[in-house]
Amino acid sequence: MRKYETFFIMDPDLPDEVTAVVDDKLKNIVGSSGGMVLSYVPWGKKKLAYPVKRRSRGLYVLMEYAGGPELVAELERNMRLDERVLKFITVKLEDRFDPEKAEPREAVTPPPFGEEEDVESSGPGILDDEEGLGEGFEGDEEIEDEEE
Amino acid sequence: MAFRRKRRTFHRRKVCRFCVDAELKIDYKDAKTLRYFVTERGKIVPRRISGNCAKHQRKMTLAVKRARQIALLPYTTIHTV
Repeated sequence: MRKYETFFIMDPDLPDEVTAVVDDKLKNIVGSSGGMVLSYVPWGKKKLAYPVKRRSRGLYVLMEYAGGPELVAELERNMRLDERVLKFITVKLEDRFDPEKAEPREAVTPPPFGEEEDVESSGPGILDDEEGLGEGFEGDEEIEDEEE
Repeated sequence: MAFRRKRRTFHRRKVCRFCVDAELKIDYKDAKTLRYFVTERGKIVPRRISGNCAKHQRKMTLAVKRARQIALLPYTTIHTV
């Protein structure tokens, strides 16, 4: 058993009941492939950094689960077929994971970003050219003094 | 070239914020923190500017690339259409 997390984007325009159907479907895939879902947290809708399948917003969901490598293949295959899932990424969290020995998980709900309708503001002003470095950064260039 | 202006600027070595603060975790899902390490154009900021140590810069780079995959961060903001 290994521990994985899959962070995926669902179509934001789906009605809630359809979203629930997708939720159950994915959980069932994990369950029927000999894995177990550890947590399933919808993070809410967020504006995407770039359009994915012609959508500029998406519903992010984080699912943590335990299982083998073949489970990941099966899950990702289904996600690719399902048009309601726009994009996903799977990360292995632990190589050896024993669900029996796992300490009772405190309900760590990462701060879902909720409805973010704000305009994407990029962080501190960092310019690309190093002549005009953004504030907060001091260039650490080593300047060799040429001794003639 | 031989008469280059002598620029002796002594910079305070920036310390790696992830080394100082063990609470700070590098996570690809945390776009807010990662945004500090990409430029306005979406490029990853080099170590000599961000002040990260090598170890954390590697982790940070991986996290940014993952965040780009799931559209939390842009690959680029300049589009020549």
